[in-house]
Amino acid sequence: MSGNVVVQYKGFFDYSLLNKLLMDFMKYVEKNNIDNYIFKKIQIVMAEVLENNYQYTNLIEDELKHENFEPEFKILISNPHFKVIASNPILTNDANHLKAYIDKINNFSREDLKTIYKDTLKEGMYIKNANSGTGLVRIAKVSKNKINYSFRKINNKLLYYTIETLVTPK
Amino acid sequence: MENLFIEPTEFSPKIIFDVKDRKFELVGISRPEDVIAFYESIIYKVENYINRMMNEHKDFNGFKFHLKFDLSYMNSASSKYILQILDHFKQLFKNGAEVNVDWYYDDIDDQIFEDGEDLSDVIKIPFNLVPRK
Repeated sequence: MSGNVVVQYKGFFDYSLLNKLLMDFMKYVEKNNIDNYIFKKIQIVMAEVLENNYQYTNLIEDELKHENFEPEFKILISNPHFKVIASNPILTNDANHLKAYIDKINNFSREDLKTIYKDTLKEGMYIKNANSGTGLVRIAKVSKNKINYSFRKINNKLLYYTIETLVTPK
Repeated sequence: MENLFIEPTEFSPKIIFDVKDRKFELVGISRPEDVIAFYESIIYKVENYINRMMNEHKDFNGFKFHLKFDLSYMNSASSKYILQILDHFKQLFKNGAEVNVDWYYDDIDDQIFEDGEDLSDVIKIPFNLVPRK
């Protein structure tokens, strides 16, 4: 899907930037009378994608010092659909696990997604980190669409990972 | 034991934990910058309260506690900590207390409605799913 850019940012993200991008999107929604139903869905997908993005890049900060591949985020609209696209460098060693996990999510039925979401929440309830481990499952569950992804080689250690999620109206 | 009140911010919820009136409320948006730091003190307070109640009460017959969750948005990290809060209150529920959980939502298609169903299933406490007026 091609479309018009609604929100776009290139560079490393953090919490305050995520808030700013959410605000930018909210302004767009208000100005263009976008339905609240689709706004809420995009808000969830956007926040989960960007939180994953900056939490992961913070973890591998040292590996990225001499690289020029910055994360990127955009929302496109092709009426009435929206597409949320986010990219960031990832360690080559993490790619196979991530790919397998997204493939698994993409093959789940809606009921399977609900079950795996609840199981992951239950298993992760007392694990000592900030994440619940449900980010990607929640994105698939909320968007009700498959998650598209790609990996492009940066060097032997790093790949440029892109995730695309279509958010459709009722 | 003192009550707990936390003012809401643009991205973190209002918290009211009233030990005298036996009510706990979490209202607003839950996407705090440091989710662990935000929820840690709340969970600590809830855990202490529950432990105290368990020591003080042999019989929870007639003991009522009311929880209200009125969220317009929560991120997945928050759901983990909300579950921990509920897990502590579950001890009262398992011991025969009447624990009422009101979970507010805007629309049946709203993700918050589904979040309420999911969290209730995970924690195995029935929620009253309440449409927001």
